[in-house]
Amino acid sequence: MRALRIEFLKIRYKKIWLIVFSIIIVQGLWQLWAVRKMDANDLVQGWMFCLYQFPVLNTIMMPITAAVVASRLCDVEHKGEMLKLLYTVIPEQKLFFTKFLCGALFMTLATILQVFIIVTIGSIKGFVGSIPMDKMLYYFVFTVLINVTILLIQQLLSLHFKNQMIPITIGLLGSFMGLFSLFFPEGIKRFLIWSYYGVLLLVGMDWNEKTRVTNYYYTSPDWIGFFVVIFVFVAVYALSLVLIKRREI
Amino acid sequence: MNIITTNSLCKQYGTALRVKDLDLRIPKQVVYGFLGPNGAGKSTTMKMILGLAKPTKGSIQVFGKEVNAKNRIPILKHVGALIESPSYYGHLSGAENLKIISMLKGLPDKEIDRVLKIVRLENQKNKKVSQYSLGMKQRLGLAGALLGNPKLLVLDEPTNGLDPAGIQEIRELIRSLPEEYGMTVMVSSHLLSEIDQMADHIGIISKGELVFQDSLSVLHKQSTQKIAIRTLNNQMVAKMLQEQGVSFQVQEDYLLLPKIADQALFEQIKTLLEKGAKIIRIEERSKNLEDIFLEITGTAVSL
Repeated sequence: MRALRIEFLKIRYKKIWLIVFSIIIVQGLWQLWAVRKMDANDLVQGWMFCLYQFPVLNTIMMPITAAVVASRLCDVEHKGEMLKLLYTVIPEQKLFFTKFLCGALFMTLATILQVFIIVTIGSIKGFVGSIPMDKMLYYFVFTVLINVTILLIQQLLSLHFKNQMIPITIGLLGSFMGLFSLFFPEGIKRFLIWSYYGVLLLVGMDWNEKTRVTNYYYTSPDWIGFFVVIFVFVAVYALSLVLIKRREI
Repeated sequence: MNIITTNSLCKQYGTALRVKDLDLRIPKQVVYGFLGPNGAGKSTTMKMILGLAKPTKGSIQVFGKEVNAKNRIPILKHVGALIESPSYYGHLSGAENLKIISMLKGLPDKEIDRVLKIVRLENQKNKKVSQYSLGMKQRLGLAGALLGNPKLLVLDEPTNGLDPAGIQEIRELIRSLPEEYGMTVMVSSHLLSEIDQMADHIGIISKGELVFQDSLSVLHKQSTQKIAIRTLNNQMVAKMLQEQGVSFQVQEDYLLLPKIADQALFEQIKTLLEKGAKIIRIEERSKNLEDIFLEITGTAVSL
């Protein structure tokens, strides 16, 4: 707990929360614009619409958010050459974990805000039916899991490279790859961690070319995809520990 | 008991052996000057002691315990360090920087004021460190190292970037630490004069090898004065001196005799002249520390 407090003290005045809030506000405004004209059929599918739209938006925005958060957290150590001092008072693994925990809190906060936005929009617009609590929970868990896995990759890169342009660029590339992967065949999509916001979608979309009507439907959670992300998370974490232990200052 | 002991410590980067079979012996409660030209391996050695670099071969003992990956942090709890340039968070104030280190070390807040006072930064403590001068940053780094009154301080070139007054101040502070706080200080420098004014013990490293290690007084003893005599018949005079049982050294065209009292020297010269020595020069020679350092390291770098 003390180590986490220290981590927050380090990023004082860095306004990371403001970056996270800004991105979520952009997402919220985007969603508000998307739901501005809804007929009766749209309102029936309102919850599904949001649970489809947010993961797609997340594919673009969350990898960038994770890259920026990780970069801000790690750059403070590079700028003042703090690692050579910190590694004499705190084990490398503990510092890595605390930093990750700090970043993960920001990414979780972002997801909580998204759920809050979905619920608020649903209530304001009067989506038909009560809030689908189970689907919301799935959405929350899946999104947080992908967020923290991408954050972990970004943190590893941000801690390794002094020049933060490298991890930020990788984050941007990941975001684009994730977005384009939504058009890739299922087999290829599953090899990219950035595309898992789409892989773990809880809602399917059926667009009728003739009637130009879009219908949304719930799908069952993709537990295989879920465990693939957990596996990637564990593998990247284990790799991170090996690399930071090996690294010399 | 030595505070730091290293046995056959080696560090290899690629094919270059940067530290070769280093056997450091740093006694308790002294200022140990670690002297060597730039690139001699001082920082690498200090980083290995602090666990920031892994030795290729050899062992390190700190406070009598062999340092390994498991006990490194508990041992380093009693060690303060300042390696190369000072470490700091530029967007935070000096006090906030020290707060972070003291929290990591589990120390009370009053420690911050104590060390700020020692390095005379108490009036600048609320200023952002990015606005500090290099000298102030160096002092802040030193304050961080002093937090918790550690038993051992490892300082790598702590006077770098300081103005003459700052150098003097830090030097005096380091000098006072063993006596006032019972600390052992390992301080590195490439400046002989600096180590000469700070240290009790000295280790000279050159091209990764420890070429001298003892108390500074031993090094000073090597700087004793000599009488240099130049004659036109050195060989004959050397024979005469041998017969008289006088120890001497031959250096270029001179015969170096130990310095003796004026009267005894007069008698010695008189005897040599009487026996046919063709003396053309009599000079007093003194080897200063720099000459000794050059002799030991074989390099004039960074003096």
